[in-house]
Amino acid sequence: MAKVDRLLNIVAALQASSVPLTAEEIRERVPGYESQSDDTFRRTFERDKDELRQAGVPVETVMVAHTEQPRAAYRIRRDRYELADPGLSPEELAALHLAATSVRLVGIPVDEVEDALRKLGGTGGGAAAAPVGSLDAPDALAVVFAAVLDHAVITFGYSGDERHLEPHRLQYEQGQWYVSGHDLDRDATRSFRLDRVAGPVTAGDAGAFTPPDDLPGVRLRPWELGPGPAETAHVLLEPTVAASVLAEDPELTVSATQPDGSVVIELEVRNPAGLRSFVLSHLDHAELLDPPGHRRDLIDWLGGFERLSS
Amino acid sequence: MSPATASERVERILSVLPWIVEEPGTTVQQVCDRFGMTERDLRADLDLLMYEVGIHPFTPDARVDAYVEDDGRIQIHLGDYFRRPLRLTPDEALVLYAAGQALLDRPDPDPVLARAVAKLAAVLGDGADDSVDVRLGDADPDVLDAVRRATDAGQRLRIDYYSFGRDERTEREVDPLRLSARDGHWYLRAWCHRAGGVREFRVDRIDTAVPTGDAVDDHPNVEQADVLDLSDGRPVALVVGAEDEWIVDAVPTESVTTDADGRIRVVLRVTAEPWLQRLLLRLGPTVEARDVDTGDDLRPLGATAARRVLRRYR
Repeated sequence: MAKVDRLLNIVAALQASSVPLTAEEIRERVPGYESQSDDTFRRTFERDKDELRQAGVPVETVMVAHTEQPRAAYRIRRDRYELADPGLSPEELAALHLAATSVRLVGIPVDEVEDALRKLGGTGGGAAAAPVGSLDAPDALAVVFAAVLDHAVITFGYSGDERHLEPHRLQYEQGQWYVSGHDLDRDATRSFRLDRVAGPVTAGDAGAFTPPDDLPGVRLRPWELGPGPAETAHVLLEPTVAASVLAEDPELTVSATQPDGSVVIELEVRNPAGLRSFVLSHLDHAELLDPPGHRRDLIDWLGGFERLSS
Repeated sequence: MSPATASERVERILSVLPWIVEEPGTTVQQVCDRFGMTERDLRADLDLLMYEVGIHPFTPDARVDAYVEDDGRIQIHLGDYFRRPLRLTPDEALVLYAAGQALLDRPDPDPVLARAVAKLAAVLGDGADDSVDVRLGDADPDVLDAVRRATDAGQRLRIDYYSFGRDERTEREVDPLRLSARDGHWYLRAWCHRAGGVREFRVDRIDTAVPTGDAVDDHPNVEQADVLDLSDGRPVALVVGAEDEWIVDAVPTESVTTDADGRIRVVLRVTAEPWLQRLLLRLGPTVEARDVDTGDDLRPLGATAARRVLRRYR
């Protein structure tokens, strides 16, 4: 285990130094390299840097002035290394431990829970819980999460285009992760499904923008996903389906409730096809009441099936 | 925890060490309990620090001084390094924060967890406060709460359940086994007295859930039972236009292929007819639908459903 002490000594040397250190300076200060040839040292030092970064140590490379030409040097910035103390009590640590063992993020190694709690001060002695839920963690999730917290612009591929986004909000809704924010290419608010992001996501510098006070979130209403002015529509839902529709989207506007438990909901429609799909997914337990034009289109759509069977 | 790789061990030491330094006189046993370590691992880490770690020129005053007293208390003296734990990596922050947020999304969140998540958010960054939400599933909070209580207490429930696939509403008595969330929905796994077997119920389709006042029966060996095996259904092939590609994400498919003309052929398993009818109505009269085994044209199913819906409009 000679290597572990070498890695720790690199951290100590970089933390104790007020200026960045070049590879040569590190070689002089850290035991273990002295007997190595120049080539072996270079290779070993590269590997050591990788291992440290893997352990979460932010070893940064900077260029420093030197007699002939600038040279690469390395530093560890305190503000990027140190965890501010959240001051968690043992009970609070135990509650986090319980939460993180009962809700699993599929795609992120289980050890991360232990690693995180160790940095925060242990598990509080609490027990692990039986899992109550699991959510998929797409590859892009951790980078996007960090970018939302740091206010960093992210760049990623989506539907064949390269997108640049100020990520304001991250949501897990109806089984999917969505990031919403200001799309710099479209100069508009947009939401993206993380499992559809193609390839790696890169994040720019922290503190690149100030998010708005009113953070727009994702809208999972197929009838709203479209351009152009909104039209108001009313849909009657029988009691059989009303409860689950309202449970799924508690912010829907209910414009009337009938004695038998049916409700009329009011929708702002920008996408008539999305409206049709929503209404028909409830078979004859839902009825599009107005506007008359959309109602007529729906009747025509259904009439198409009759012509087919006759 | 062992054998750990070099970087895992570095991470462990850099995480635990600052805490020991801040708690002078803490014992080996206390550290092991708190961090879930074995005594052997901890003593090995302390030995390594004592003899091998420090800064140039490694004179006694420039080295870590770490030893265990006879009574088990640990003494550590450090220079101006290793003083604070490492920051959380994005993955580490995410597993704690997302899980915490998910469990707080309920009417009566645990106040201790709420405090813990708020404190965590404060150190994660400016954006953590209200910019990350996790909703494990949608359900009427009252129904979910009733189901949760009955599951915890082992009480039989009478539920009014709407089966989406079969398009029918039934009242049944169930013995809750387990409540869990996946893919954005809460599911109750329960012994159903009406069906005489284990069934899974989507909580957002339970209209009312009332305890009957009875305790649940004992149902041994049901935890592993398969509830609904999709492969039991009949295989149906749909051919849809490129504009209906959403279907690939929206329903569980067995295979997806694209024809030369750009149309998409999707094979799926159908266990209940109304479920297929909904899909056909949404896709419209141009969709082709066939039973893969028999070759039967299934479009008349859509026509029947269309006639039924049209009755509302005439």
